[in-house]
Amino acid sequence: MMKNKILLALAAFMLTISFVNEPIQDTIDIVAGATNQTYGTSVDSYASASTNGSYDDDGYEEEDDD
Amino acid sequence: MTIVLLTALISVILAFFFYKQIHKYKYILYGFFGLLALVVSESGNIITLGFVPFGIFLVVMYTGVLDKGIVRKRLALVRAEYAIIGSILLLPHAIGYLEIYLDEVFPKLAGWSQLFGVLAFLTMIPLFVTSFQFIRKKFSYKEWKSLHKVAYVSYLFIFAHLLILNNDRFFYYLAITVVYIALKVPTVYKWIEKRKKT
Repeated sequence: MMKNKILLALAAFMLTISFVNEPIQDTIDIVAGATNQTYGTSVDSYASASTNGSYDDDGYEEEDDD
Repeated sequence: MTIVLLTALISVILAFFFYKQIHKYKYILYGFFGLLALVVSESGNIITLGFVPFGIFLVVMYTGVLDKGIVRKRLALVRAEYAIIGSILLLPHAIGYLEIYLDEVFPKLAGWSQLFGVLAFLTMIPLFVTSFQFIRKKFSYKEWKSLHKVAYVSYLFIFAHLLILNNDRFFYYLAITVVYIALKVPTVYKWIEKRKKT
């Protein structure tokens, strides 16, 4: 029964750590179908889509009058 | 990782208490999960991001390394069903990402992680097809068993795919990989010893 105990301990440990590290609200959001920083998709950056906190702000640059 | 682990936990609990029902109504379940995969395939969610299928595959993988006993016995009874359900739910993840990479990102930009993901998906196709009972019956037990050893190659590709992603969940994936290999090594060693004797 040694292997089962190792796996049970690993599962309990990992579940505890993931509950602590991953905000519960993000988990609820992703279950409801909304992606967020915790459960995001890395392919967005390859596909030139902006990611959290790093939007393209070229359009907001003030132009010099002179 | 919470989603992956909770999916695995719920799958184990359901298998333990409802293994007979899961086995009996498997085709209804395949139909239900097939429809679900179609419905959710267009958006980013716990299925298309791969969390739910990975949770189910964890149960399929780790069933093989459990100690002999009632838990292993009941999980083994629904292992094929779980493998098929996991594969059905993996389709939106695999096809969705493949589509993105082929359409919007030049394949040359795709990294090793994506390559291993594709390899894992490709090696899973024959396993998925031959897991259906009516197809399995066309093979002898020995042939089927040999073919399903490819599953270990597929597991390696999955582990490589996840580890090379190198995201926030890297250490979870590393723990899952290391523990799986550590628990599998004694079984493989015994198998090699047994073959030497015969």
